[in-house]
Amino acid sequence: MNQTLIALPLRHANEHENHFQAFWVRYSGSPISDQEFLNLSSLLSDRVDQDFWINPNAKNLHSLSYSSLQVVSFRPGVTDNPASSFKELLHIHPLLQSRALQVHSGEIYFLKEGAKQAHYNPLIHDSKTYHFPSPNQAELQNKVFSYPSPQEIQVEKIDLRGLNPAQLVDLSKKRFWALSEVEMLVIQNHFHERSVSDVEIEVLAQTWSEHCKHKIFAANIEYEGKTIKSLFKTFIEKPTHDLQEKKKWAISVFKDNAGIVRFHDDFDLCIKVETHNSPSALDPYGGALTGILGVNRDIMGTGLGARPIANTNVLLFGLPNETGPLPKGLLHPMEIFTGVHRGIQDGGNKSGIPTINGAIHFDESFSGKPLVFCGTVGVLPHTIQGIESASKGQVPGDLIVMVGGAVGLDGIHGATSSSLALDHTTPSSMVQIGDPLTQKRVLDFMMEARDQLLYSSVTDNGAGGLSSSVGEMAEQTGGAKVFLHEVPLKYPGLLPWQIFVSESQERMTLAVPKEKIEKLKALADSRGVAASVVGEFTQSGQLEIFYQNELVGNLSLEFLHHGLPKMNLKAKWNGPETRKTWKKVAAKKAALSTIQHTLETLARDPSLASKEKWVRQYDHEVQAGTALKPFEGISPAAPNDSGIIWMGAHGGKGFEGAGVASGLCPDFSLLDGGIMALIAADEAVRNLIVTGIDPDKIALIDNFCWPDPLPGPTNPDAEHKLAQLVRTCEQLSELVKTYEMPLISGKDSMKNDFIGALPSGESVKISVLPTLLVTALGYHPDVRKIVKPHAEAGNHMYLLGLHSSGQYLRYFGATLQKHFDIESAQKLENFNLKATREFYQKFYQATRNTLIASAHDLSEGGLLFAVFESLMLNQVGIKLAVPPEHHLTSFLFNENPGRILVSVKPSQVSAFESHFSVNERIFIGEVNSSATIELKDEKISIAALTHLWRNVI
Amino acid sequence: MRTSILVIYGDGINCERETARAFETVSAPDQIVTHLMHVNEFLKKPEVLLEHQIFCIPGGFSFGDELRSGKILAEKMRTSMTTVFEKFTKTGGLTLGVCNGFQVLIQLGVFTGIRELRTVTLATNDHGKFLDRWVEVKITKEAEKSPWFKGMTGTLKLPMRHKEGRIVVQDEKAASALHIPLQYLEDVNGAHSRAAGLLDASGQILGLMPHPEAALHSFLNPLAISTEAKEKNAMLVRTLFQNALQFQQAKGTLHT
Repeated sequence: MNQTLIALPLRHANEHENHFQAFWVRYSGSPISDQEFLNLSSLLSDRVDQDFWINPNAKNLHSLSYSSLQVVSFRPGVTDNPASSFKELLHIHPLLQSRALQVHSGEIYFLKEGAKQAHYNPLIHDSKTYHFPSPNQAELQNKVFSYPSPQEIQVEKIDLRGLNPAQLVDLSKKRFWALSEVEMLVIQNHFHERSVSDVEIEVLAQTWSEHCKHKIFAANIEYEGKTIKSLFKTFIEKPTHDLQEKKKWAISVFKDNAGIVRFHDDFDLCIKVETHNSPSALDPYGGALTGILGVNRDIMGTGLGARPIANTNVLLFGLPNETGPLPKGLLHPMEIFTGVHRGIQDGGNKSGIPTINGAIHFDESFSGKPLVFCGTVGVLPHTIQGIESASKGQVPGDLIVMVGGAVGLDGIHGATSSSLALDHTTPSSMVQIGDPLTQKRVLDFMMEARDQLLYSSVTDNGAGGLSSSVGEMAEQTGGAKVFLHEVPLKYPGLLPWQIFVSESQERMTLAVPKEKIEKLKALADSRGVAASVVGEFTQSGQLEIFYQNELVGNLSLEFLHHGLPKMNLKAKWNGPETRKTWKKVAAKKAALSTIQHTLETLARDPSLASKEKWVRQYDHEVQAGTALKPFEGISPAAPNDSGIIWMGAHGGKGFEGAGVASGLCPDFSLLDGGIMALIAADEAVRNLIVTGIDPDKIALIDNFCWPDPLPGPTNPDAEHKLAQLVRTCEQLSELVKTYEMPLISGKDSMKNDFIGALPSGESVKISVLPTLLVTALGYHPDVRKIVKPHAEAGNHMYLLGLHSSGQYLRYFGATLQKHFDIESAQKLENFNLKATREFYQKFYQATRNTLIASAHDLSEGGLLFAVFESLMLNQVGIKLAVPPEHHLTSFLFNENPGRILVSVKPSQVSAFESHFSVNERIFIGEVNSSATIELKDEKISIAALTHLWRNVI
Repeated sequence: MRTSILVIYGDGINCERETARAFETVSAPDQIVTHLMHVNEFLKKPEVLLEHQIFCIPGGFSFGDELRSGKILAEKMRTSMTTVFEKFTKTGGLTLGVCNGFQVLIQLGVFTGIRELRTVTLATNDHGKFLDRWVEVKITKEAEKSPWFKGMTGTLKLPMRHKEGRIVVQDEKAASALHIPLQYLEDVNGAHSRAAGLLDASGQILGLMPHPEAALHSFLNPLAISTEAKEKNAMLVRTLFQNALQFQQAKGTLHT
C-alpha cells in the first residue's frame, strides 16, 4: 500500500489560514505521483476558494514563520465521518475507482512561537506536535494507520464456584459488570454445575444493568410503614392502565420502544425520550449526537418501524460562567454545553428531523454529570397491507438480520457503565461518535422495506447492542440462535463477547421471514445499506450463541429475563433541604431591591435568558410541517411555549396538529419531590393547553434522572434520595389520574453522580438535583388557530387560574431564592388537581370560541417574567394593576402551577368575562404601545430588558 | 398530458417529500405525476430524466456534507449524467435545486456552464453558523427571463436553513456573468450581491438557498406580520411551482 497526505486549508471567516483538514490516504496498486494527485484538485477541493496541498512540505512552511505544527486525529477505532466521505469522493475518479482505499482524517494546525495548542479531547483524539525547523516529514506524511491491536480470539470460562461474596463483588467491579453482590450470588447459584463463559456473564450484566432493567423502579421499597411493590407498577403503570378504558387512543404503552397514541384517523404517533448523560460528560459532541440518533432509532424500532418527525432536547449543565476550580477530569460546563449543542445540531439537521422544542437549564449541581434528554416523535400508519403496524410479528424460523453500521470496540459497556458513578476508572470505550448519514440510509431503506413487508419485526440496537436487541426479540418467539462470526466488524480482533455487547451505532435488528431474505438483501444493497444474517429465532427457550462452530453461550431466556432478584430498599424522607454546594463556599445573596433590578436579575439568569442564538442553529422546520416553531418573529424574536407539527405534512387530512412540550423544575426537588412532580408535569401540560390543545387528548412521558439512591459507603443519605423518588412518583401518579393523561413511555437514569477530587486533592462528590422531566404530546384540532404568547396593543391582559385570597401573601418559588435573600413557603398551597383539570377544559372551550388573543404559561420567574415575554415580540407595554390585597413580590414572582397569562381583544372582553368566573381571572391591565412595564413608581423598558435578556449566553 | 416531476432522494437527501408535495399542493392530482427515485438508481440510469419535465434536487445533507456541501453528489452526477442533463435542459426541462440541491448544482457548475471552469461557489456563512430563520428576498429584473418567475414581482418570505450558503465569485468577470433572480433584503450570510439564488443562462435551472417548499402555507410562517400578508406570501410562493407546471403544460410533450 502507498500513502499520501492531502491537506485542505480550512478557511473560516476571520480566521488565519493556519488550519487544515488533512486526509491520509492509503491505496493499493501502483504508486500515484504528487502531480497525478494535484490533477484531482478540482474533484477533491473547490477551485474557487480552496487551496489543495499534496504532501505539504513542512520545511517550506517553516519559512512562513510558524514554529511548530500540531496534528490532531481520531484515535484508532473512533468513527471518522470526514474520512468516509473523502473515500467516497476518491472512489469516483477512474484513477482510484478500483483500488482498495483506507482514509484517516484529522486536522493540522500551524502554530507560531508561543501560540496556544489547539484543544482536543484525549478520549477520542490523538495529538502530536512537530517542532520546526526539522519536523519529521516522513512521519507527518506517513501517519501510521492503526487499529486497536488484535487480541487472541478466545472465550474465557469463568468458574464462579467456590468464590466468596467479596471475591464475587471484586470480580464484578474489575470487569465493569456493575452486578451487585446479590446478583453475583444468583448467577453463581445458577451456574453451580459448570463454569460460565465470558459471553454469558457479559450478556447477563447488560440485560440486568440498571440501565436496561430499571431495578430501582422494580424494587420493594419500605416507606412510611408500608412496602411499595415496584414504583413502576404502582405509580406509573397502574394509573395508566386504569385510564386506558377511557383513553382508548393510548394503544401501546410501556411495551415497545416508544409509547403509541391514536389521535388521528390514518396514522398513529409514537414518542420516546431518552437520556445520554454519562457519554455527554466524557465527549459532549459524540454523547449528544449518539443520544439523538439513538432515540431516533427507538422510534424506527417501534411497531413495524415509525418515521421520526420531530426531535426535542432538554439539557442541564453546570453554570456557564463557572470559575471555581473544577474537580480533575471534568470538562468545563461551557465546553460540555457547546459540544452537546453541536451534537444536537448535527443529529437533527443531518437526519432531516426538525428540532422543535426543548430547554436549557444551568445549575451547579450538573457540573459533575450534565443531563442530556433527547426525545423523538414518530409517525406510523395504522396498517401496512392490512397488517397492524403497531405490533411486532417475529415467529420461530425468522432470520435475525442486522442492518446498518459494522461493529467495533466503541461503546463496550455503555449500559453497565451508565449504571455506575463517573470516576477516574471510567473506560473510554464508552465514547462514541455517531454517523447521521449511515443512519439516514438505514431509515430510508427501512421505510421501503416496511412498506413492502419485507420483515416481520424490528428493534433498535442501543444499550447492550445485539445481546439486548436479540435477547428482547427472542422473548416473543421463545428462543434464538446467534452466529457472532457473521457479524460484520469494523476491524479484526474483537472477542466474541465484545461483538455481542458492543453498542456501535446506527444498527437495527430485523426479523425476516426466510422467503423474503433475498429481496430484503437486494433492496439493502441497492440503498447502500449493509444487511447481514446473524442468526435465527427459535422456540428452544434458550439464547444460543455460536462463534465459528463453537457454542460459546447458552442461556435460558427465563433466567435471563426473570432470574434477576428484586431489590429490597428503604426510603426515609428528611423533609425540605437547603441547597448544598460542592464548592467550598456558597455564593452570597443580595437583598431584594427595585422590581426592575429583580427582573433584570432574572433576565440575566442563564436558565431564563434567551437561547435564541443557539436554538436557531437547529433546523426547526425541515419536513415543512412545523406550525409552531421555537420563536416567532425575527428582530426581536420571542419564544413560543411548545412545538406543533401540522400533520398534513405526514399524511393527515386538513389542519390537524400534534404538539410537544416539556416541563421540569429540579430546584423544587429541594422542597419536596412531590412538589417538583406536580409543577413539572403541570408545566408540560400547560405549555400545550395555552396553544389550544385538547386536554382530553394529551399523553405524558416521564424521565427521571436521580442521584444514586442505593446505600453505600459514599452515599450516607441514600434513603432520603429514595424517599424523594417515592414522593415524586406518588404525586406524578395523582396528577395522571386526575388530569386523565396517561403516561405512555418513560425512562430512568439513577446514577448521576461524579466522585473525584478537587485540584487541592480534597475529595468531592457532585450529585445532580433529583430531576423529573415530563414531556407532553397532544392533539391540536387546527394549526391555523394556534394561540401564541404574543400580546398586541389594545388588548386586555388577565392572569387566569384558580385563585384564592391567601394565595399571594407569601413567596412561593425557586428562582428568586437562587439570587436573593428570600425564603419560599415550603408547601404548595392552593393547587387543586381536579379544579385545574376543569379549568383547562374551560380554557380549551375558550380557545375554540376564539376568545383568547394570546396565551402564555407562567413558569420560572412567575407572572412578571411571563408578562415581559408576552410583550417582547410586538415591543408593547402595560401599566400593571396589582390588586391591593396581594403582597407585591409574591403576586409578581410566585411560581405556583396552573396559571396562564392571556390577552383578550376589547370586542371579546364581555364574552371572556362571562366565560371565566371572577375566581378564575384577575385583570392586570391593558396592553399599550409604550413598550414599558409600568407599576408603582417604576417604568421598565421592554427594549432594554429584551436586549439584556438576549445577550447573556 | 400530465407533467412528470422527478425528485431524487436517499444518501442523505432530506427534503424529497415536501418538495414533491409542493407540486401536489399547487396542482390538481390528474395534472401531474411525482416520481421519487433513489439517487443510486438515478445515477445508474440517468436517461430516465428525459422521461420527466421537471427535475428536483431537494435539500438535505447529501453524503453527509462532511466536505464541501453537495460535492460528492455533484461529482457522481458529473460522471454519469452531464450529457443527459444538457439534453434535458435543451429540450425544455426545468430544474430546481433547493439548499443542498443548490449546492449540488453549484458544484456541478451549471450556472457558469457545466463544461467550463467553475467560477462561483457556496462557502460557509460569514458568521460561521448554521442558521434557521425566515428571510425576505426581492425578485429581481433578472428573474423575469425565467419560466420559474413568470409574472412574479415584489418579495418572497422564505425560511433559510443552512451553514454553507454564502455565494462567492472568483472575480469581477465571473460576477458579471451571474444571473441573480433573488436577493436578500438584509445581509444574512455575506453572499455576493446578497444573492439568495442563481439561474443558468437559459433561465430553466433555478438554485436557491431558502426553502420555498416550506413556505406554501400561511400557518407555517412565523413572522410578526398580519395573517393577510402571510396568505399573500404563501400564494406568491405557490406561483413559483405553478409557473413550472404551466410552462410544461403550455409546451406540451416536446421531448418525450
